[in-house]
Amino acid sequence: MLTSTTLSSLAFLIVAIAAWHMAGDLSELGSFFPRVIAVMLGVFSLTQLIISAIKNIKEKPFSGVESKRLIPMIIGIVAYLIAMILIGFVPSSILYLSFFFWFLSRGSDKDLSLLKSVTFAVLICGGFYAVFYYIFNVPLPEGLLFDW
Amino acid sequence: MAENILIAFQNIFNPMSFLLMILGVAGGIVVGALPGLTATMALALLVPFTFVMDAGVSLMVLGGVYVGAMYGGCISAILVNTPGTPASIATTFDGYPLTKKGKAEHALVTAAFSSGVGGVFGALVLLFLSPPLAKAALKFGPPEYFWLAVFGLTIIATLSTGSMLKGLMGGAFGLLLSTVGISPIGGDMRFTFGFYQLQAGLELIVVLIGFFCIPEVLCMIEKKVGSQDVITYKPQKGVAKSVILELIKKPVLLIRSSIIGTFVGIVPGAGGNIASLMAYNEAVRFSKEKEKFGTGIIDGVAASESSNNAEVGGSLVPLLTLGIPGAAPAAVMLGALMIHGMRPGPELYTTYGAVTYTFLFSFVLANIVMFVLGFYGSRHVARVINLPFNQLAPIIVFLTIIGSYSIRNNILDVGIMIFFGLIGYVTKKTGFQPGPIVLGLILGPFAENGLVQSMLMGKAEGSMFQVFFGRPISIVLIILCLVSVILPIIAAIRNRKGGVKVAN
Amino acid sequence: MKKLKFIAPVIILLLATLIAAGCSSGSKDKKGEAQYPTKPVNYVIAFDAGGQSDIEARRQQPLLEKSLGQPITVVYKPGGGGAVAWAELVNQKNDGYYMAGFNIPHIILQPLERKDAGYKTEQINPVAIFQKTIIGLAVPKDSPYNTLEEFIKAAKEKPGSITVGGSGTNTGPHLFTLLLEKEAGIKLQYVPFTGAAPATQALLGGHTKAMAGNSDDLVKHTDKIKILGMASDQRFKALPDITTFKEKGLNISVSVDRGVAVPPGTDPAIVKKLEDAFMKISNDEGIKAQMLKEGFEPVAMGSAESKKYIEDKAKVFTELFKSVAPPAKK
Repeated sequence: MLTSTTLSSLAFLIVAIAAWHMAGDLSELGSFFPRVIAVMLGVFSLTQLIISAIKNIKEKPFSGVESKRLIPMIIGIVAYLIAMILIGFVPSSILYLSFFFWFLSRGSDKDLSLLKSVTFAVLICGGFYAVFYYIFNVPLPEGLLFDW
Repeated sequence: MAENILIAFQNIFNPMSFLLMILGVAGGIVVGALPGLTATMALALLVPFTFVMDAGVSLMVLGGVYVGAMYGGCISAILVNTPGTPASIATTFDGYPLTKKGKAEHALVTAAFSSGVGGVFGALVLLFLSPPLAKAALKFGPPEYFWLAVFGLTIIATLSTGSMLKGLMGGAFGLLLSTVGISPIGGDMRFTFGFYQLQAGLELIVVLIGFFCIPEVLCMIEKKVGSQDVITYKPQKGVAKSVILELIKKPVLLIRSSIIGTFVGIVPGAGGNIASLMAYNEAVRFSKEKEKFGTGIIDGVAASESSNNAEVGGSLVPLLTLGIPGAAPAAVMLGALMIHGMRPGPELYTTYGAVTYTFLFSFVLANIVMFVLGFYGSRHVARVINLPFNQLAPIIVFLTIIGSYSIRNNILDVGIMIFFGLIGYVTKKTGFQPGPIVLGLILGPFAENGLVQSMLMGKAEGSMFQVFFGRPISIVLIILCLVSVILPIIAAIRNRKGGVKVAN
Repeated sequence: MKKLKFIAPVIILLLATLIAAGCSSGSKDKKGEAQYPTKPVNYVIAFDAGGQSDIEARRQQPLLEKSLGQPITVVYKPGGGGAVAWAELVNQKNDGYYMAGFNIPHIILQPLERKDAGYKTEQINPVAIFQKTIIGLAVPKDSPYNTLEEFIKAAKEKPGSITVGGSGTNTGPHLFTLLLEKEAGIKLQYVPFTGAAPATQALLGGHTKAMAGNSDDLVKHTDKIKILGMASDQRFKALPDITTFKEKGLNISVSVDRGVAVPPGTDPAIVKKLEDAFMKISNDEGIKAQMLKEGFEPVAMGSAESKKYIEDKAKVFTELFKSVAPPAKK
């Protein structure tokens, strides 16, 4: 009966309890609302927990998921963020886009070579960057490592 | 006044101004379509450019941008399940399913037409009914905002397709998320975990992009290579016309959604996001085919889009008459007015009458321009999704990064977006819809501020009961809440008695 | 052959990355201050677009661009009542290409009352202060109180029954209300709102009985409200008919000042150049007249003067805060 619903309800219950606890540090007026909500969340999660513990539901939320594609994608997004902080938006975007254009299309009928991936990445990245920087005047992260 | 109207007509049909307005609408559509760029930002970016123009023309351009941006948000909402502006959240509910069915153009044309209808409705209300409506807006005090928020929260029932309990959990979680930051009443720092940037709380669009977009992106690429690599969109002849004919047969839907949008817009502080969600909810409530909502019917898109464009006109009502903006983009327009020396109030209609009427009439026109652009552009825009997922997915991630950064120029927001994106993916897989969570996040501040401010008012007046339950508008809202909650329960009981099992 | 297929794209990738990163940073700025500025300067607004700080910055923008010879990029970093922008400010590179608008008493009160505002008052390095608004007490036009005396009398008769709306908690309007309670010996009920607009809306709608507001908001709505008093030392130039609290024997003086600052440690020569540009605007007669019309008091304080002003105000506000604010928990 350790279904995904049970697990997620448990997670929410923990969040509710944590929120209640953290709100204890606040002033009376500031803690009122969060605590009320925390109680509501706790009650709902507990109810769901009990219901799913009693009923015998079969759940397979991640069936059909190809983790060989999913996990690298998730890691890639996080790495993208870290890279962006370090070397700036444009370089990290080019790296991210190139890699994933190439990686994701491997084995499909539209298999992109590394060269095509990089070119495509540079075009997209450059195009949007230009629009945002010159037309919209929105500065994009420049990166901490390099001091140009 | 008559001469003002004549001058106004001359102004708007001046070729240069007209062209600038069209550019404004087009620019607004583009900005609105990019998630992370909102109507407010688009206006803020353009205000300096309008310094050099004369007051009437700059208002025409800004109005066009506002209108365009509200419509533009639907494009990414429909094509990639990411609301381009928060006002298009409800458009994703049926817009994206339509795209998945290969009917992207249907959705886009519906959005264009509905936005046009809603926008014109809002513009006409703005033109003819501003003064009395503005007075009504003032009657909304803290207790009314509280009950409005509660009413809004009842929408969770509609959005929890599947499990009501999970919807409630999602809503409560969203409400909790809305408390992150500085508490409006006590001034305390809540749940900031040492990140000073979180003093401001979680930025709605950042969380939206995370919850709506990242899970879809991950779903796009999670399957084995080759199983379902691309949504194909093949342009078919006559789609646009057939969609419009179908919509014309549903005037009640469009008018009702427009009314909701306009009125929500008039209430200062409540903007397009609340308007579209409420209109969607009412569309479901009054529909004879409730089950079809969420699977991809144009009614859902029509309700959401007509109300969010009607909201634009509504938000300008208190702005022009009282100087109180009805929504964030309207606040920027206030800035623009002030820069040109125009003070909101009766002066606008008398001393500055020519400029004001120019603006008001152009506003009606802008909505029509927007519809035309949307109508003809949909076919071409929809082709974007013909890109295979393997290429589309990274590009979308790229755009979400840009979008979540540009809101507050804050790297932490990008991290927050990714964090909630991953959580959103997991919750989606385990049966929690993003709708209730986002609803809690949006309505939380209204509920909290309304509640605590009303309590302080009650303390001063010596009667909590009077403050919460004794005011006319509050009473109306309370009745709406009760109806909203009780009707579905009665329906569910009836269904069960009749032997028809309600699908879980 | 396979190796080449792999190496070539990687080389192109690296080249592209370098070129892109190079382009995005603009030209290298030399050390010579005489050439500053050589690229656009960021002017950060700590509040939302369309607000007062934004309008002021837009007013200054064209004049600054003329004085400095470079474009001014207005950037919004709203949040936390300004704290987010100021926390970022003190951590930025002090090369003179990043400045932010700041507000007093915000920069003094926030580090005082918050465990971690992200910055300290002393870190704010002012270039100039150019604007002042005074806090005033307002009631709706149809309110039963016509004078300050009537208001105070009513408050004495029914302690805690008069609701006074204002923007924020532990902000200027809040402190003003607490001071008013202390000086007049009355008890009011302060109701915090998320901004000046909601507070004004509540006042005009009759939901609160009074409001503590900035002079520019009060001027905006003079036709719908009655202003019972202003918290300035002398009569406020933009509202010369309104009496000050000091005249009535109540020692209440609360103002909100706006200025612009750069990160700590910025080269004094650069600070001077920025200061000159802002002073020029502050001394422009046309700008001064515009400000007065809108309910602001134009101010022209340079860097050193501003620094001293902040220190003085910090002493005053710290005392005030400690004496009237409720004790912070933990």
